[in-house]
Amino acid sequence: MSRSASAEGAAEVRLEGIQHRFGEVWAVRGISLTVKPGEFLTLLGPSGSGKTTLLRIIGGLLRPSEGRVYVAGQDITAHPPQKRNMGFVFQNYALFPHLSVYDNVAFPLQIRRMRRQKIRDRVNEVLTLVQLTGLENRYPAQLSGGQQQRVSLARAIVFYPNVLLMDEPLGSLDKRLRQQLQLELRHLQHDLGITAIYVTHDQEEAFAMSDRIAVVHEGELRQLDQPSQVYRKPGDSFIADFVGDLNRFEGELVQSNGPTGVLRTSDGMEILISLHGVAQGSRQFVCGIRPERVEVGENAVGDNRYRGVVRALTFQGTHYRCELELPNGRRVSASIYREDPGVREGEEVWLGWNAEEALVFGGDFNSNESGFNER
Amino acid sequence: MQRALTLQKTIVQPRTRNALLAACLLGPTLVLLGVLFVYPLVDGVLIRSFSDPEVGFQNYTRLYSSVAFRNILRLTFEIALYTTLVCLLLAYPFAYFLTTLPKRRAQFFLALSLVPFWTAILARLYAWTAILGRRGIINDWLIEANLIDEPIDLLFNRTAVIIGMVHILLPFMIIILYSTMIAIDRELQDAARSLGASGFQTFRRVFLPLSMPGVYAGVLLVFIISLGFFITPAVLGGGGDITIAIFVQQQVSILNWGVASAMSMVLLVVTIILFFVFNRLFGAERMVAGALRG
Repeated sequence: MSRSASAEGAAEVRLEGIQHRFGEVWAVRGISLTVKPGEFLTLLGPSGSGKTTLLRIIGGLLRPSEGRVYVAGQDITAHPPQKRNMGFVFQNYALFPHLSVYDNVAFPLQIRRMRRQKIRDRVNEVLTLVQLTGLENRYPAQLSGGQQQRVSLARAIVFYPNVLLMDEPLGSLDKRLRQQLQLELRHLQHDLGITAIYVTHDQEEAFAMSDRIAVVHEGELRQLDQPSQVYRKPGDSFIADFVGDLNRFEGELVQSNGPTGVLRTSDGMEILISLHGVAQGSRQFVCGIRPERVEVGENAVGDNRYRGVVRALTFQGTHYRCELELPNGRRVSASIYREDPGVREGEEVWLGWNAEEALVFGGDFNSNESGFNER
Repeated sequence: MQRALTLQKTIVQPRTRNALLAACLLGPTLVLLGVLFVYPLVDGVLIRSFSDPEVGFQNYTRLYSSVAFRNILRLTFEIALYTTLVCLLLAYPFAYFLTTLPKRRAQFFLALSLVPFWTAILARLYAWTAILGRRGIINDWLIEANLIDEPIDLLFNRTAVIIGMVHILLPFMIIILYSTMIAIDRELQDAARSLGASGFQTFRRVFLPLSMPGVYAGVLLVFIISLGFFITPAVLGGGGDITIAIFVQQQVSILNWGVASAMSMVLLVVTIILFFVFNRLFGAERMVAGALRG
């Protein structure tokens, strides 16, 4: 066995038509995807989207109702978890409360009947890697949340797994620690060269860590792409909403002129939209504009210009957040990245954006904000 | 600042208030135990064992030199031990099975296991005589099935006593084990499996050690209750099976208060010693010492 798991230990994970049902409820409805060897892939979705179910299926903690799981080309769908050689990091860490830090980390090696001296060397090596040296004799209840998370990570990588599965591992930590551990986790995964599948509902976390993001919603794979693409070119309006703030306008195409068209909303707003790359033949559209793309102020220009009253202006550190109310009562959010926002609360100002800055989705009227799989 | 203030407050808080609270919480039970247990124990049993019929240690020396007494003591502990072991072996898999069920169904089975509690103890014991007797249900079946010609003796022996006691004490063991097991995080078993442990290894290295506090508590409770059992051995046991409780009752009925009291004291002292030894060896605090001590 090599001193540390290297890239050749990383395995490709392939899912084919995975479906899973809890009683009458479909948690996963036919997901196929391939995770490349050594890749960091995030399953991103709201709670109840089926992402954790999918992770447990990959780890063998659940048998899928339908579909197959392949690791390095081998069908392991019927293998129990202990035969899969995958590290699993649980949301609540799942550390053994009756065992010390050392014994928790040594557990998988003892199960594998490794020689005592080898176990000691390997455990010390991994504890150094996750910066836990000196805490070997503590018990889980004596550790902070961040330390428990490191133990759980050490335990999941100590036995040279081919794949590392993580279920919202940073969910219960405070923001600063979470950001620090995101970086550490990413570096560790890179150094180990291990294939990693990470579950989270936090889009910022997914952006910060992933090679690719698989957006899961209502048990379906909605988009599989690089983080920047998921943000800039979301596959549908649900994703656009989920991965970032979005001002949504739903309406009917009342006029089209080559690459542009005019969308009229039910409350009578007319919005110029770009029809580039949008499905032909559709009449119903959703136009979404991100707050950072909305210009605010007297010199706001753009294809779409409206008057609006500043209802709230809040300082966010890197920018100002501005809530505007249009004459028809509709609210629009804008982010202002200026030292002086140039507007005041209660003031009536111009706001606007260019048609090509907006995201346009055809015929998608169910906003799907609820994350539940009911049928 | 806020924190320092609250700390100060707790320290300055008058002690008398805590004492009053303690008195309210503990008082009723302490008074009840004092009047109904400690006073009769000291005045009626302890003093009599040294003073009836005359002052001195003669009741104890009589017991100590008597072979019959030692047999009674041994028999009592033997029966208690077997009862406890049988209870444990029956209750552990049952309680484990309950933890694997959905909550509602587990509660149903738990309620079923408590049925013995709802029946009067004498009714239950006489039911056993009807089942185990020479003309009882089991003998009838065996004869009808042509497995035996003559009825066999199932009643009035040690086995019958242990069956009866297990029947009564099993629910205690089940409840204690179940409440410990249900508190064990199921995810720990998933974790063990993902780390390479088989089903059996997961049980032996994770579930079993985490369920041991329940095992210790259940064993201790059932064993101590078993030591003082009177009605069951009296009804189901043979004439030779005299336990401490039966012996005490016999001595009292012939007004031999001194010997009866001495015997009671011996049982009490042995039980207390056992309790402390057991607690020292397997005490709950030792099981979770590492986990809880900061």
